[in-house]
Amino acid sequence: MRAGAPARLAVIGAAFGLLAFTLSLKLGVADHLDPELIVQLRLPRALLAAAVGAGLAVAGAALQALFANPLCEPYTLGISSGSALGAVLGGALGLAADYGGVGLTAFAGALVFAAVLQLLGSRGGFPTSSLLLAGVMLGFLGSSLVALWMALADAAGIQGALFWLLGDLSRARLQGAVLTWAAVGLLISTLWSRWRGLDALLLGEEDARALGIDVPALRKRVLISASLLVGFCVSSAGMIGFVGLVVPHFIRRFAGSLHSSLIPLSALWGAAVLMAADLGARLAASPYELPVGVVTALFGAPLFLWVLTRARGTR
Amino acid sequence: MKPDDRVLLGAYGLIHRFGPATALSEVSVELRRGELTALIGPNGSGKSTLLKVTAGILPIQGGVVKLQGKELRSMSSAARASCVTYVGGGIRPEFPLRAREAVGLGSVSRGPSEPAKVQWAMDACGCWGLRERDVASLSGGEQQLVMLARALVQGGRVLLLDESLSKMDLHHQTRSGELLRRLCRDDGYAVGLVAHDLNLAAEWADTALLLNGGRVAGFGPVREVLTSQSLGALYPGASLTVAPSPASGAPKVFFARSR
Repeated sequence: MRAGAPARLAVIGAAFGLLAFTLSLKLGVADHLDPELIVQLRLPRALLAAAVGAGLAVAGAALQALFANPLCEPYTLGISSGSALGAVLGGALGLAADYGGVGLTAFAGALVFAAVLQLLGSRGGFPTSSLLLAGVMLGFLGSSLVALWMALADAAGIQGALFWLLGDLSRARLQGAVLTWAAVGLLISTLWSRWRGLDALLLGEEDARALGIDVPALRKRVLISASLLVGFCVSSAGMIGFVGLVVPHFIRRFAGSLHSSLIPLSALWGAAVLMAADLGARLAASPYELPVGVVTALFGAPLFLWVLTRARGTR
Repeated sequence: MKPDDRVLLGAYGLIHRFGPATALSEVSVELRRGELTALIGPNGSGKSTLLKVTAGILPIQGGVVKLQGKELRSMSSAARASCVTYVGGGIRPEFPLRAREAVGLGSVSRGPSEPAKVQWAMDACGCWGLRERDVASLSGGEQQLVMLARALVQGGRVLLLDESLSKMDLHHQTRSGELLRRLCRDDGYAVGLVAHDLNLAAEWADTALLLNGGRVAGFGPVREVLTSQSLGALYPGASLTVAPSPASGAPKVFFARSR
């Protein structure tokens, strides 16, 4: 990293994001879409992709720092699958598929799973590494219960559950996208304001305490903010993996681990990456759509391995 | 000046347990302005626990800790960190972090990194040349230099070092020892140093605190406390003799293998 690396990464990220946004509005199955339909369909979808991508990437960056573990993200910690389980239960109860119905139960699912993690973590003598394992187990539990529901459900039920398991941005509506933007923006700034505590945690929990950080209070605040963030993202777009894992690591490789720049850069790049991935999901097998979660995983995993091996020696 | 004014850190009747194991039973110690105190004792004698409790890293289970006359319990984390600096034996960051970034974290509870202070501290510790290196790629001794520089940036007048010079080579150990002496003499620091290297501790310390089984086994000037009898009682398995160093006059430990 040189002194200008964060600024350079910000400029490239902004250009990439703008390009993805413009193409998302222009390209699609119908080449000459009515401007009205662009505003009704493609604009909300691009906006939602940007908000969800930014939210997942920032949640991933904060959770990785909090748990001092590079494998942490909403998906691996089980918070996403708690949210998906909540959504499927909401659907099973016959709630409407919008913010007031299934969105609310998805949200509750994320918070319940995060609360279980927080309860385990606040018990004395429960080490952080075990907390990650507990999160992975919660994730399995949530996904298995969703799969159980799928095994018992009819075709429509399976379709609905798949939406939550694989991630899908096609249900975006303008009002919902704007609401998600506002919530995600607020929560990202909350997490960003904790940059000093997150920086101190880079040296380990003991050193962070020695440096004057109130670690239990920090852990609680970050976990709550990150869970709310995941709740908003999953309840509007289902489970989308890899964005939360790959984007922060990508930024760290080039711009360092200090959170004053890591968090805004993760937000910017997360937004750009998910808009691009959704564009790919819409166009790759046109006129059919791929689940966007599959696209992020297909591209994210190899790209991440490449960056990992290439950048190792230069830092 | 009241006699108390020189005490920067006072711990009185500290008790600490880890489950059923007692780590500290009624340990009292005072670190004075301008003095370097060596904490000496066998493995598990409570040295690290004592440092961590007085640094506010472990909670106070029993007893009282006072920092410059104020009760540690009543201080905020940030206020405590501005009075007392703790440095452990090493770090293993999970994420890429440059040496100068790690040193800059010393001021994290005050505000953003202070580049001029970072350069001054890294210069003083002789590790400015490592500033762009990833902390994980440094050797153990180099990491300890970086952590010492971070402690200078944090700047608390009570400096607690837990085996923080243990992996340095003789050159850096000497430079760091001289740095600690200067901080005590010129800047009014009170330093507490945990060290298994008794010769190192005896060379640089004014005062020694001997701990054994979580109890104080001796406290006073190094030349009076470090004797063949006292150390023989601490380390019964070692056959050792204490004699003054021909170079400095500080007590030195000579050990022999048993037949």
